[in-house]
Amino acid sequence: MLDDHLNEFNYEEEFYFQWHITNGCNLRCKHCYHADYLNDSVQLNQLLQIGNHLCDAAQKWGKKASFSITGGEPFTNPDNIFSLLELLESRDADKIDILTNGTLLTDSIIHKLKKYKKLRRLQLSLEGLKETNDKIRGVNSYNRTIEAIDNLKKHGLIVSIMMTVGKHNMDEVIPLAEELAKHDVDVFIIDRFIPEGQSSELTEWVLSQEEIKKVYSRAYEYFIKTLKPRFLLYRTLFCLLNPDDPHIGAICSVGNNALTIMPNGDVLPCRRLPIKIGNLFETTLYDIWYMSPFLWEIRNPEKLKGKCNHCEYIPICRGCRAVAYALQGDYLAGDPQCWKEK
Amino acid sequence: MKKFLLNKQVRLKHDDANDKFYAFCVETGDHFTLNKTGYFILNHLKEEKNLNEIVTLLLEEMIVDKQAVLTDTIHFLELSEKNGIIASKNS
Repeated sequence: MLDDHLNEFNYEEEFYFQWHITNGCNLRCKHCYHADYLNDSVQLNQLLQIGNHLCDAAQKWGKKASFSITGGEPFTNPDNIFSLLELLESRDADKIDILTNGTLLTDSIIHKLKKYKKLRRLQLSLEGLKETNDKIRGVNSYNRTIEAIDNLKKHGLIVSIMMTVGKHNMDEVIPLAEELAKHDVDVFIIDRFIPEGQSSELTEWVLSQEEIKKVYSRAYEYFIKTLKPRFLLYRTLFCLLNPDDPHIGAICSVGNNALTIMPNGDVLPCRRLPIKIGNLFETTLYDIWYMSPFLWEIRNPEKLKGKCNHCEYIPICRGCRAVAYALQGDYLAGDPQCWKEK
Repeated sequence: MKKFLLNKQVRLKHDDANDKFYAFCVETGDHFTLNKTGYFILNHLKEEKNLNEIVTLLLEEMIVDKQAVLTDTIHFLELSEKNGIIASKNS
């Protein structure tokens, strides 16, 4: 079992911002949640203005500010990334992750990244072993990602890998984890495939309740027996496997302690829940967080429907609101992939 | 007599689910928990009112001692002004 210091889920003390600083990307992954790749990024001074505002808000709320900076591909404009890192370090952000496809990470960029103390890790993505991955992320992308991993590790940076799991790759979760261990990957994250953006037509990839149970059970077994790579299982539904294990499962952060900022300043409750709740160039984050009718509605567990309604795991789960929205058209619906019998 | 008005940057919220009341400053991020009476007063201060008008509204709404209402309302208005929730001006 994990030591407590490895428990990263910090719901009470942390406010998490997933910040998409650009839509521009050099890859065209089949399952991408972006609807387009128009590089409508704002100017650097506007990015810095947003960054300061997000730090102010976390400070006001007495929370540690945690950032995932991503895109599109954030390294399509490395100058912006480094300016943001300078700002967030100076504003005492608690931790910063960069979510990248890794293909634009040159030696010079990696060398510069090493100096940022608040940079916790770089998150890259793989969708399975080579053949499966390359069908989704493009020819030779598996090898390029492995090269990027090796290069980052050579420089002593912490690397996590995200895998989006559907019917198409569910049997490759553990084989990929074993492969990643050989490359000294630190952290492995799996998340459910949701058909939206570029992948809105790929509904056949969505896992059934039994399939998601099988995938999560295997991941949990692996998690218990090995620490390399360390599985991060802070996701809704994992609590069903062992409600007494504090190292797995997480309450859906929507409306609780997280927001997504898009390149044009739009604010979403979660990147996978594409409902605009405001724009930072039109109003303040405070106005959005305090007054959004959507957020007030979704914070109220009484409003949840289906299996999630009055479920005993509401305090540690709530189901994934984005999956409910994508598959049922109703963000308050019961989580359609939940295998618990009501 | 002094008139009071809710600050333009302050929003009021009644959280039906938990029956809680709040005042939020959307400029500074300051947030305040209110009781039902505080919420009632601030809601009426979306339009300018003086102390007597506020007390009259309260007495119409609830059966309470007038002197106690007056004392509590003065205290509440002072506190609200000090925290930037309302502003006052002499009329």
